[in-house]
This record gives sequence, C-alpha cells and structure tokens, in this order.
Amino acid sequence: MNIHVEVRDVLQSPLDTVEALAFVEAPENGAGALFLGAVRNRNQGRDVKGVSYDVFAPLAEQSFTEICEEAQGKWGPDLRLYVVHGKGHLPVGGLSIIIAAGSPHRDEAFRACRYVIEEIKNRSPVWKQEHYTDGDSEWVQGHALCQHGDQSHGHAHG
Amino acid sequence: MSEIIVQLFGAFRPIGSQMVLQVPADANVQAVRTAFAAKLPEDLHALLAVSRFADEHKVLAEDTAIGDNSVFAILPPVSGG
Repeated sequence: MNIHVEVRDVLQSPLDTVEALAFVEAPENGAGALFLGAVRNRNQGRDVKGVSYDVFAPLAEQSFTEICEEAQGKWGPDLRLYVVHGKGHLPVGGLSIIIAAGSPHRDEAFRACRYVIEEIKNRSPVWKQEHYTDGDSEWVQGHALCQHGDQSHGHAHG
Repeated sequence: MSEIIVQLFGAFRPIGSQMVLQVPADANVQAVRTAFAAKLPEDLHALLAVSRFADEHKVLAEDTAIGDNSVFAILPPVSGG
C-alpha cells in the first residue's frame, strides 16, 4: 500500500514528520516533499493561544484516501502519500496536519502535496475552534460541502 | 416512525454531541433536515442552511432515502488543515 491516511488524537500521540518521510521513501523515488500545517498565533487580527480540531474521523479518512488516489491519477502510481490530521487541542506551534509525498521526480511530489492540502481544506470534514488570549473562542468559518456526487469532483463553496 | 441519531460537529457542538430524532420510516434526508431544524435553536438555522448531512461514507443528497441507516452526521462548512 502506498497511501497512508489517519486521524490522530494529538493528546495521545503527536504528529511525527520522521514517520511521514519514512513512509514515502522508496528505491524508485528520488524526491520527497513535506507539507506541515501548524497553529499560528494570530488570525483575522486576533491573538490566538490554541486551536481545537473536531473531526468526523471515518468520513475524513475516506476523503483523504479519495484525494490521494486522485493525486496518483494525476501524477502517477509511483506516488507515495502520507496524510495525518490531528484531532483535539493544540497550542500555538502545534502541528495540525502532515502531508508527505514521495515520487521519482520533484515536480510530482511538490504538486501532489499542494493538491492534497487544498482538497482537504475544501472537502474533508474537519473543523477548528480558535481560542484567543482574551478568553473568547470561535469556530472558524469554512467551506460549505457539496452533496455527494458534486463533492467527488472537488468543488466547494465559500 | 424510526429513531435516528444525528452526530453534531463543529459549531453545532455547543448543543451537544448528538441529537435523537423520530422520523417516518420512509423518510429522506430532507425530512431528517426538517426534523432536525425543529429541535434546533433559532440562532443555528443559518448554519444549518449551509450544512450537509452525511453518513460514514459520503455526503448525502437531500433526496436520499434513509433506509436502514440510523446514524447520520451534520457537517457545517469545513475548515481543516
């Protein structure tokens, strides 16, 4: 299997870049690309102290797999892909997502990483609640999902 | 009538982790939406309008019959990554 997808409780096990890169290594692959998503300390003019991630895990993992398979359709079956998304509370600097791509040449790896993160942001059932330094919290406004059928084409609103 | 469970995510979380509804046995997703809306606080109706129902495998079209499925999820606009 050359695709690994996972929703992981960050309180039990932090996301691990070494694990991600190890998965996408292969003798036929001369390139590896890594995308990291992390909690930043400011959003929309407000000071953020942490983010809680809520995930509908079974459908999220299925969407990750579909997106990775689409990437393989675009950039070849040799593409190895690793996706792990965090669930639970993370402080500023905490890793919320790791995407790793391994491929024979660099162009496919870079493009696949970009494709996978953009599609996840538009299509996967994940929500973040920002916690601010003033004690307030808010759910981040996101992309409305399309119904089944439309969604498989990667369309999104919002 | 059939008893179904709607799991709540994201901005629906403040009202709980799930909602139990009674719907006709031959209901479709639109009927689930109507039953869900009837128990939803007024300030969440705008969010419901841009949210989709799903099962563990796919986002469901409004005319999908619920069949033997008894567990659904309501998915507000997503913000992962």
